[in-house]
Amino acid sequence: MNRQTFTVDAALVEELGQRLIGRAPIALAELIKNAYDADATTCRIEFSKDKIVISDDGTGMSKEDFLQHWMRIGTTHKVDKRVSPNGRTYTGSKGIGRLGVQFLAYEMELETTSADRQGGCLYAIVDWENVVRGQDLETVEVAWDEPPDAPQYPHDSPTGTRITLKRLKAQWEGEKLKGLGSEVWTLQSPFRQAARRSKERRPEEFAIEVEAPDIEGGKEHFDKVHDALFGNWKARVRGAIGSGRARGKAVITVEFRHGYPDGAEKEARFTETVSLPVKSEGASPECLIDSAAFEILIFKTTGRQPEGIPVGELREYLAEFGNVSLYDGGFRLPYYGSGRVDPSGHDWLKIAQDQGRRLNVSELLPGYLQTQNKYLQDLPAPGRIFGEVTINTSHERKIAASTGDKPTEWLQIQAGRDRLHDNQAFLQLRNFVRYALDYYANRHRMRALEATERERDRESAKIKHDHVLRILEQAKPDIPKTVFAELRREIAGAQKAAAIEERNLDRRASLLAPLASAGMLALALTHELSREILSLKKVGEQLRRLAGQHEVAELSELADSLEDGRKRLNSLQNLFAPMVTKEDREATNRLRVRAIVKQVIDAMSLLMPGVEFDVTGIPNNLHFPLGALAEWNSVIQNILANSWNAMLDTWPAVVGFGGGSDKRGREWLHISDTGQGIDLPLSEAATLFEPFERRLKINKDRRSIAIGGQGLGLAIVRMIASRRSASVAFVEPMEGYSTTVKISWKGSRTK
Amino acid sequence: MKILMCYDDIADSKQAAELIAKGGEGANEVEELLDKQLTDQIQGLFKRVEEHVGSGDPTETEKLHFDKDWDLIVIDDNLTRLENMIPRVTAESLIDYIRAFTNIPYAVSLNRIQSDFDLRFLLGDHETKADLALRSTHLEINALWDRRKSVSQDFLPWYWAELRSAPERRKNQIEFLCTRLDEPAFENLGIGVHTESFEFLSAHGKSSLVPDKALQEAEGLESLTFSDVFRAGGRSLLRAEREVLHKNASAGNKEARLAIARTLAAQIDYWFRRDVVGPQDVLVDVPHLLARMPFLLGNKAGDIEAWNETIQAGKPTYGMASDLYEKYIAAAKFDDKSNDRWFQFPVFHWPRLKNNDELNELFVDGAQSGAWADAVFCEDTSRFEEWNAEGSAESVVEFATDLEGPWARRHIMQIDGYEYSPRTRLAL
Repeated sequence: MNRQTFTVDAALVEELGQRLIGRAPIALAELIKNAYDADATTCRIEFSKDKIVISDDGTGMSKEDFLQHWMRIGTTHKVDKRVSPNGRTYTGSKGIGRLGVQFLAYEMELETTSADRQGGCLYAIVDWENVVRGQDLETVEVAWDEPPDAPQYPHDSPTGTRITLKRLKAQWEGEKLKGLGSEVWTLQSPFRQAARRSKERRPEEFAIEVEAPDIEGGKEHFDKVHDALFGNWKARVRGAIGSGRARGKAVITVEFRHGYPDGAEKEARFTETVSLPVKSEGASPECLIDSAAFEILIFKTTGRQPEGIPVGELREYLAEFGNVSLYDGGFRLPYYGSGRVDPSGHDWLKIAQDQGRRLNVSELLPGYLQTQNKYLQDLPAPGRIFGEVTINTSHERKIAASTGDKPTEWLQIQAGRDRLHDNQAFLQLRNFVRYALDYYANRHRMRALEATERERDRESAKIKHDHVLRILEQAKPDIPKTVFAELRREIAGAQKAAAIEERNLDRRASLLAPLASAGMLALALTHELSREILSLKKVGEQLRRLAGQHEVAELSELADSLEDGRKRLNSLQNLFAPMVTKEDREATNRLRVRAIVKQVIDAMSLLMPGVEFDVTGIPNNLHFPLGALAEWNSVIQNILANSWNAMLDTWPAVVGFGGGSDKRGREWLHISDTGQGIDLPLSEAATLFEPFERRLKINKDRRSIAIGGQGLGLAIVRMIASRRSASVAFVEPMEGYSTTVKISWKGSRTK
Repeated sequence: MKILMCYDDIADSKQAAELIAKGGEGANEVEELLDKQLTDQIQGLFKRVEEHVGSGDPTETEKLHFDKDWDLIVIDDNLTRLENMIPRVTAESLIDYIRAFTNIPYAVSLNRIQSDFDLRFLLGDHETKADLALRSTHLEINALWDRRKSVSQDFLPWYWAELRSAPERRKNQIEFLCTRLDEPAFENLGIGVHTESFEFLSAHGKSSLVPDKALQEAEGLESLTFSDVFRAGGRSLLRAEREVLHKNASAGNKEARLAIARTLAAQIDYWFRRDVVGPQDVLVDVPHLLARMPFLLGNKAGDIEAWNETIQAGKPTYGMASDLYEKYIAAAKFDDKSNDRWFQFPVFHWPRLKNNDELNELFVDGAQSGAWADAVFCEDTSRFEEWNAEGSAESVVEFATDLEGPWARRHIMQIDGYEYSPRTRLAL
């Protein structure tokens, strides 16, 4: 039998790349991932007009690596090994990252230097245009050499890799850089991005430096995902102490964003000033820290994240880089916050430990901040916080030495330079940070409770009563039988009363709803009326012209009555004017009483013909309490409507206004009329302000000219007045009048 | 002047056309665009917009009726009765595009405003995209078209642009901007960032022309160009549309450049009205200057008619005593060319006048002499009126605008039959 091995068409490279990589940002991201896998601390990408250079300070490739792994497509050594020599989990696994290059450019140069070839490098050049469909892959040649010189790697690293892509296929702009950023953001260490220098970087840190001078906002686009994520914190805890050894106090601030925790309505900021130590540990009541600061961001690792970042990615990222790190003079002490180095260092603030032992209240917060609730369970898990604490051990040593303290009494770094001595000073620092986090938990619970309360306020009385009954049932074994029975009976009674009240409210709402709808339509109608008024005006003018031309007196009269009608309509529009603009409806100011009263009279006088108004008794400088024009307008309008209805059968019809203030600084407005008066003793007159209360006797013959009649006018007056901290009541009528309503309020102190 | 009028109702349109004819006293030539014809033109306009800022090709632009040589377009705001017009349109939804993509220099929207007089910002409608928002009843007022026809105690808001001259001024603005898109904005507008007048701008005034804080901080207000002003946002066009126009203009597309200049002209004009002249604290016009310094009228300061003659005075000394004008006021005049380009009245740098000690002394001396008429400038009639004493018939009313600065309190006559809002302003 003949035998034949499979051959691979060179075009398969393109096909594979297409299927596995797909887009230019992903292709470039693969090269960055290769740098990460090579334990680089820096990967630099330089975009220029016709080329892209990707260089790193990683371990580089030896000749053997190049020939056995790089030149072999689909090599799986990363899968076999899983973790890099520096402990990074490999990001690439398919061995096809370099195939993606064909999306980016026609030509690629590779320069790489491994530890065993320092000073020189391995140089290879790939021209993807040589890959011809129909030829075997094995016929595709890659030229390589080992020149004695090495290119420059980031930060003058002796080892590294540099890939130059030439004859670019795609044009790079902001959106593509954003795409690149979203592919690799999880690789970047967030620590001290701005200040980092390669030599200061720890092996686990990785930074991507983008230089794209020709792409507008290139760097910003690349960092967009990263920045959006870090800007999306839900709470921020900050603290600082300066001159602590000179009795300086520490300040702690906790900020919450709107909607965090769920249901919290507004953003909020809480500040506490505390003396260190927050808890007297051991023998030292003195503050052993001179200067320290921290900032901790708390994220929500559920739900939608900004820029469409999958929530799983955020969790993994925070698991890798999250928690609270400690910096000494700008250097990160890797023991703290990192799970890789030591689990106990990872939980150096003992958050996980306290969560594990289900601690309910803080051991650090003072009594006045304690609540009955189990607020410490609101401590954020290390997997959703990111923070850093900044100290300076040499500063601490200097200050402490000058006061003659012992080495155990200042923040002191251990010989390995990765952690601090566990002394009193460190304990004070830890407690300071934990105090702030406990304070956060406390405020978090308080906000959550407030949100729940708000929600509870919206619950119907029936649901509230059900809550009470449920609690009562739970407490049944602890309550004497007779007391239980009595409580239950009372609650059932309250429940029944509430049900009746709710039914009444429903009944009123069903009456109010059509009235409110009518109001809304009336506003729309007023706007539309303008067209009709214009038409009336035009017809009137035409009539007048015709009357003049043909000398017909009747036509002239007709024009006059049309004009009167138009004016009436115009005036009627004024009734709604205070409801038309947002400012008149909503803005709150202390408005001049006289100006408002005059406006209302102007608008209402058409509906109240023959009524005489006297406003001379209102002082010009009398101001209503804070409120919107529409509100005070409505108050006066309703009282005037009431006066009109009361004066339908009386003559003369006069409405008089008076105002002033008393010695206690209380201001008032009297509105009096010459109507039929109220047929109740003043002590019982408050009932007239109840909704649907209609005591006024209107002659049947004149009912058609009454205003309103729903029994809501005075209820509205009282509702608005009490909302604006004013009281309203019928009082002894002023001289010459039969009824007087008094609105009174606390006057302005600045008058 | 040639006026294109757009309505969705034949009777309303006819009525408005008659009012325009009456207002313009024969000087106006009106063409009505109605019904299906209007729908077709609007759809053609949207197509053109798509060609310029969407996915279409701007070279394929078809001629529209809007492209004729109009001076002014008047559009009824509520066009919901147009058949086959989906989505529903209003004047507000069209004016941005008419301005940017046609040659019509000036746009008036009708019947959007809820009242006749704006007590809040003295603009008419501070939210409209139109150059002027009116009610159709206003169209018959002669002085709206030609301020020289103003009659005592007629309704004629000082903030109204005179329609006879506004389109020509707008053309001048567009021409000016078209060649200066890459030049510093504030300096070219005559209010350089390092001038005293700029310092007198309110915080709103300083930032509203370039409402992009990041851009302000990155570039510094001084070096912000007109292009930056356009890109930073404003009242017209969507941000994405602005970006496309900016990109095309940068690539040398003349149509895009023109569209930017047209949009910018309206935006800057609004800024001048709202933030620069509105508060009367940066630039001050003649009536508001006289209200503060009546002695500038010299020996006529006791005669209210002399006060009113200054309002229409078209050239220096604008009715002021010539010795005082030459000595103190002329030097504070806003640059002549800029003045003609942006304002219908002469304006002066108020900070320069305010800080002049000699003027202050003249004021104190004059005030003591008691020889001035007790006059206030009424914003609704554009005339000075006698200020009534406490307890009189109160035909002149004081009100509080919402404008920034120390000159927020103004006066009106409250003409019968006209609505003034928000009414809260009358009770403050």
